[in-house]
Amino acid sequence: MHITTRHFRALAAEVDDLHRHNMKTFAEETAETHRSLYRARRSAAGLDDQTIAGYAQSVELAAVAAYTAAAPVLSAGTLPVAQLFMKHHQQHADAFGAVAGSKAVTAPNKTLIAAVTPLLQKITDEMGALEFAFVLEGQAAYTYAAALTLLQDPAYAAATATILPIEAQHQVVLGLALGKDVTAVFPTGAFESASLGDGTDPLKGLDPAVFAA
Amino acid sequence: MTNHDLNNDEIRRQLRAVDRMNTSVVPRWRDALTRLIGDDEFSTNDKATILGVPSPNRRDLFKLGGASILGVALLAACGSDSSDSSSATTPGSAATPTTLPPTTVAGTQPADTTSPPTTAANSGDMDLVLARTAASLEKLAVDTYGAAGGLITTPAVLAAATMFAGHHQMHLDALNAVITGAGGKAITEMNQAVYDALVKPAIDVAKTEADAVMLALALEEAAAQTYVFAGGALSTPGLRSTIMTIGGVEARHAAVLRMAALAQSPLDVFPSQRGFFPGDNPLAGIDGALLTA
Repeated sequence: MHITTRHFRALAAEVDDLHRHNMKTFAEETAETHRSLYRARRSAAGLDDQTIAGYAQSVELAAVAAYTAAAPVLSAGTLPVAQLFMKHHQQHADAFGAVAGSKAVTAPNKTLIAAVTPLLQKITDEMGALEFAFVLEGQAAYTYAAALTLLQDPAYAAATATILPIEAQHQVVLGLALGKDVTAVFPTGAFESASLGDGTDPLKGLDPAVFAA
Repeated sequence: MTNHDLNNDEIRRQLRAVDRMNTSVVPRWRDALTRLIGDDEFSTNDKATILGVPSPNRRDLFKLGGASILGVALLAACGSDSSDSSSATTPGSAATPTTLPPTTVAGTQPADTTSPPTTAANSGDMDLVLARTAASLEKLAVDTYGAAGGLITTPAVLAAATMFAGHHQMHLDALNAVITGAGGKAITEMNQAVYDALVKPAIDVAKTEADAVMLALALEEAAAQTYVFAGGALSTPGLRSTIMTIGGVEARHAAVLRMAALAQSPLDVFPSQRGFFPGDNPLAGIDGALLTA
């Protein structure tokens, strides 16, 4: 059997189609490879993006629990603000949980809860509750500034960037409600801290190495 | 060989063989690529050498042709590499802005926070553009606080405005350190396009302290939003963190202005009770606001 020019051209077109199809598939597979690389690539601290998201989710849930615990001592004027902040933290937890994949959590960060429980038990009035929340909100903001040094996927970073300023504004609101002067609501000056600590330093974020859920 | 020398069955066999080869080779090539690109021990230049393409900076891209584009696009898409660590703020270190690598650019929109992240990395082309633009906004803020300061008579508000102007000067200095570290020229002039579009019309009609504070608030919120946008658009984790150590402070400025200077309620700090700061580019509609040169 021999081939005519017309058949040859048809076969060439078939090869061309096959090539184009394979290249399209290759492009899609390469794009997925990029995405999986970002998600799985471990940062210098040994944490991948989903692990960081799961950690952030656990911290946000701990913040919700802390506000819930402190709510009984709040006045009628302050309670709506605390409830809004609690709602924000739940939204943040949901957002992180939605992208944490298998690292998503269902409960507040146990280590953080254990660390703050003695502090919460000592709170007897509104000022004490606000002071506690003031420190926690600052630490949350600093935790996210530090997290941004680790997150590899720009989309995770973008999401985190929308949350950091809200935590910072929470701290300002609480500080002014406490009667602090304007300088005091910029605890680390003209730049947010991106340092991490063990929770005892109000000027450092919450180190996932310490508060591993 | 003439057309009639080609056997149809033989050609089909050849095609199937090519297809089998393609099917078997591509996954292996992809695995090799994953190992290569995922290995942080290789610099971008190393990866470029192995892939047989030029390092993905703009000048080289213009020299490219044909097959090289895939390799370069791959490198660009993978974005950060081991060289990123030189600019990253490591946990536990001070939150002072660090030196930018001599790259340029970005360009993704921040993701909806409820959607699974799928954003591809940026090539770094926009980094210098965003840094220059941010610096020009900081200079604009410094100048605006200076110009509007004459309308502020309440001592506490004036003290806050003075402090905020000082913050903006520090931000400008930090950004200029980044820019000059990347080989760029320091920004010394305010963002003229934003001044013309937003600031000048407001200053022209401002007559009271409240007018001045409202202008400052608008600038602070636009600046914070610009940083949030950049926090998702810059090409490396270090840069994204550095820019947000500034963005968070701009958001604090806005909160103080609302509560302490405008006597708004705490709830007003979060318009529509928002739990996420806007991350879309607030300068998108202002021609010339992005400093590309």
